[in-house]
Amino acid sequence: MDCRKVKELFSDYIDGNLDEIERKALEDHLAACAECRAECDSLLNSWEMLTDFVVPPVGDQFTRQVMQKINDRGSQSVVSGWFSRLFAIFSLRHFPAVPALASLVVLIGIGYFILSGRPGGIAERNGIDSARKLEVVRDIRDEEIIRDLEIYENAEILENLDLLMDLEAVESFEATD
Amino acid sequence: MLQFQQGDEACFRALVDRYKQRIYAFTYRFLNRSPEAEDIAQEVFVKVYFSRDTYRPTAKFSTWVYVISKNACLQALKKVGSNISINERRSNTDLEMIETIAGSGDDNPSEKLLNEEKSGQIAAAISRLPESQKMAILLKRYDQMSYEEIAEVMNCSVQSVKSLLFRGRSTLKEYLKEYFRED
Repeated sequence: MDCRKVKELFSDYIDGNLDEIERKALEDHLAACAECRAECDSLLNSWEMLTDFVVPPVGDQFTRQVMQKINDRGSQSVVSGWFSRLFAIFSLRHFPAVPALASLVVLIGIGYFILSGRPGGIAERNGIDSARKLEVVRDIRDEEIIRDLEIYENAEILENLDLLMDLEAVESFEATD
Repeated sequence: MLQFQQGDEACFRALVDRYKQRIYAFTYRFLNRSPEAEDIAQEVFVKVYFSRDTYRPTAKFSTWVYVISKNACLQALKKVGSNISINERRSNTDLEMIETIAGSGDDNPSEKLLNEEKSGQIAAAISRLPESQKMAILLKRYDQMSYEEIAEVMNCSVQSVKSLLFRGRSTLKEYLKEYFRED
């Protein structure tokens, strides 16, 4: 066991946490190494010295004073208990959905406020929407006109169908010639 | 503690009587012999009383009560600001104690004074340690806690406890070197 390893084990040695083999190896090293022995001795001495830090006995009235403090706080808490019970009636335990609903209402309120307050907000958008509806109606009319035009063209074709067929028949006749 | 949790107030008194000296010793040493140490120790038991429902039997009662004591001490230090102000107050109580010993008609007042001086030297050395090292040293040296128990009280790993003890011991050795040369 080298000096570095021995010094690492000093704490465990002092606390009696080393197994028999480690303790024996450490003590063998201490017997051979004056520097480590001196270091270990001074650690042990200072640790032992701490015993001299005496504490005076606790006061005779200690327990009584503790009980007095508890009683004082207990009576204080009776008064505050009324308030806490009052709050408890309206507590979350009884109305668990209140915060969620409140948040929702607040969010809706804020959203409405923001959208209605800014240019192009809800009020103006209502106008835009109705304009769009008009456009859509206009689009449908356009479609109807287009459709009518197609029908008209088809009707024109149908009206001239005989003539066209005659023309085709003449062309075919000429071709066969 | 379990009986007290079930409403037996007499058991609480018994707990206070059993642990009061240990808890007072811890607060007294941790707060560098502050005259407020007894009041803080009492507050620990008041806290135990009102927090009884939070105690779980999976933890040892002694560990739990030390966690409360540790928090109370750290809170007290925070309130006071630093160790120095506690030490300053202590110097007044030292003088009072010397006067008490001198006027007590004890058989050996000089020995008492010497012991008091020794205690003062050690207290001064311990108070110079960083809070975490000081706590690990106190719990190990005076409360004979295992590394695991200290880790639980300090809310850290066993390896950290070992490291804190190693550094704390080395620093204390340096602080007290001069003193045990005189011996």
